[in-house]
Amino acid sequence: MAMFLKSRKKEPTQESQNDVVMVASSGSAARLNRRNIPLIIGREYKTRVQKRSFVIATGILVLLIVAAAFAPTVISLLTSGSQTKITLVNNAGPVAGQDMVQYLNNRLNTTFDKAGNPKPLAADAKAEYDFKTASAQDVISLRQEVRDGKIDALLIANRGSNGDLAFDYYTKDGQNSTNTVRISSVASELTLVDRLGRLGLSQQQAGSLFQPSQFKTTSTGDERSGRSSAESGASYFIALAGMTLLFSLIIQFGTAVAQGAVEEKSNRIMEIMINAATPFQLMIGKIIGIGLVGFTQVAIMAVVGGGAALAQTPLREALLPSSRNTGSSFDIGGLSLGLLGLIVVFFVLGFLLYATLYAAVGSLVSRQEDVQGALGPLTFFFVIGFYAGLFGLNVPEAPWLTVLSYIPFFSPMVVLARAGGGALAAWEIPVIIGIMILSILLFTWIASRIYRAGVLMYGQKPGLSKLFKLAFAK
Amino acid sequence: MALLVDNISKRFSTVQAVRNLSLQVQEGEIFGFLGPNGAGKTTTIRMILDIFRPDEGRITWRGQPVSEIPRRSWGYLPEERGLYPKMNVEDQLLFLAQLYGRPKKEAKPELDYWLKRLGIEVNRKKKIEELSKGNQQKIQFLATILHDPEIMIMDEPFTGLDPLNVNQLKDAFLEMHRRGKTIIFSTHQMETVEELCQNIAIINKGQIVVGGSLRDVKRSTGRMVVRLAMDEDTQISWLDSIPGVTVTKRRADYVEMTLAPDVRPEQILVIAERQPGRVIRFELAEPSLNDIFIEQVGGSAMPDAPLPEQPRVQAMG
Repeated sequence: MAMFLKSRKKEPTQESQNDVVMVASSGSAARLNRRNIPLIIGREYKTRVQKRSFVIATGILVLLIVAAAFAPTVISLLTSGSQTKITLVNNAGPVAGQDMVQYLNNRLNTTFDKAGNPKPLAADAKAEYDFKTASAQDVISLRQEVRDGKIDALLIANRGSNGDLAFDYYTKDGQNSTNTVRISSVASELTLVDRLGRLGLSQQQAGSLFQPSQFKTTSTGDERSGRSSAESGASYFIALAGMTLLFSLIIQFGTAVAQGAVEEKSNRIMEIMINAATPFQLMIGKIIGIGLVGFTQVAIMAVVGGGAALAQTPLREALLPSSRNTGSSFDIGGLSLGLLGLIVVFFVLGFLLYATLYAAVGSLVSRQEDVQGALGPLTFFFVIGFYAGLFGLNVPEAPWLTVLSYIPFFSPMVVLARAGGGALAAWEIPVIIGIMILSILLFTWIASRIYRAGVLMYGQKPGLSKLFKLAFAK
Repeated sequence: MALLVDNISKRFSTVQAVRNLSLQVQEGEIFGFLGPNGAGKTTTIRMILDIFRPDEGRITWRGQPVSEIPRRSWGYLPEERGLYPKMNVEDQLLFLAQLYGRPKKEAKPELDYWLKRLGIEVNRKKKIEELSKGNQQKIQFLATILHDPEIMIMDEPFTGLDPLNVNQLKDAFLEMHRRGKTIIFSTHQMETVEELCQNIAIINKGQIVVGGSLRDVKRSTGRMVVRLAMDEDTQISWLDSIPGVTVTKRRADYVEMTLAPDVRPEQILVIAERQPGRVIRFELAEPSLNDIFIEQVGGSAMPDAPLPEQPRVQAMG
């Protein structure tokens, strides 16, 4: 009413100084309709989830995840029946008093239990490598056999003029194939063992030389948080994966918010909607609706991916009872679960922060083609945060990283980096979340003012000063 | 008094879009809002809807400032059509009706009724972008009325429709009129206004130039026109030589003229009967709304000059 009386004063027409059309509608009449926000959320969610492009994209992602989860099992299943046949022509004699074929078998056809100790092959299992010996006269025909694919490789051991072993490896595989690499590394061992034998070391003494060194790293972060280095390693990868996921999801769905705002503007449905709902309701409904779409996609991926990953161990045991694969033991401890929780929390907060800003920018653009360009500066900020996080993973204790983690634009990424590095103290988490929430509220307020002015403004591109005028105009 | 627009003005940076404009629209009437492109119609409509606020003046509906009226009371059909192109007809219309505060279970039967009535039942599940332009416009109309508003404001609702669809929409207007709704619409189609409206306003350059009841507007010109048609002579060029006669239009099927006060219409008829050929039309009429519009907005219409003499083509046989 006050505003109303003001405009009635009988002074000569006061020319409005705004060059930008100011939308008056405060939607005071619409504010009463409480069902508006759920309605708008429902519309955004329903139309987007039903879209063919969404269904197809989600389907492809799910397929990729399932494929990635099953690939190791499938590959070991396919290769379990196969054997690499290698013929050895030994012109060098025994190595440190040991038969070379036996040594090769010991090194290459052994499996390990979970603790990393060698374990004998199950009785029914086929050895991965099948070594045969042949005499030097057969070399030419053996080479032909390799060419014909009858055997996989031919290994010739000679002694050089200095008495060292010298190997010739003839194969169809490339220089860097797994087989070549493994044979080559065992060959280096053999050479070393052979030298040591000639120097007079016993077999046992020589064998002990190949025990891995004792090297234990303790980072200050690990020391403070009390986690093992295995947990620390897992945290690193979880933080990295989380940051990458956050980055792509926030960009993707934040852009969808901006495009949605422009869509409503460019097809002019905004003129009808602005009458029935307040700009704030329209904006927040859109953001939550699209956020839920993103959440749905992630949830589907998580459920399917998690299910597929959990299915691997029993599946492998059922199909490959005599599995010779060690199978990486990637145990997700309590600390990593906490990190997963942080990822979810900061995905929600980061999305809300950027989506409100994206919505405000989207409301200022009139055509779809201009969206990407207008979002540029914001996206730039976001990318800086991402790279800071990536870099920060390796220097989690750096002071600049601590500072960045308190700046809301960078918080989501940088917090994950610090947490992944074990450099985030527990008390910092609620503080940073608090800062994020406060800035989200502030940006929502500013963005809804800009949105209010922007959604019915066509053509002109307001400068920064005009933007401020719009945002803070009464 | 239903809708009262009291002396509003609105200025955009360099343009005075609306200047001291006042209007009264009675409750339950159909009101025609006319004006050339850029006259300020859409700006006025947006101010009535509280999308913009006037710099000066006030707008009230049943005595209440428009910014305080529950949205349920308004139906708005914007000049540039606005719907979600990828949403289907039913979802779209029910969403908008709910947004305007009408529960789904009330809006649904109303939707069924109107889809049937406008003959677009088959399009219920189709996306808006799949529909013809005419059908899109019908959907836009339904988006305006489905939440059962008291007052409907439609910016150019008839533009781009074929005569069949125009008729259907007119019928729909009249039905809403019977239901006691107030309808304000802007248009360039004068016949539609003459058929539907009780009161009109013509605006130009942001100001009302003529307003009031349709009959009063027509009479306000204070003159009558005479229309004459002869079967042998479409141009009737001898009219130009009669003092006091001003030919205003030469059309394919008639010639229209205005007469000086001292010339009586019968005199024209008497002269015409002495000419070769028969008089096939002689009529005394009020000027059409079209003429008034052109007169008020574009200065006086230029009288049509007779066409140059053309060799007569004899009909075969």
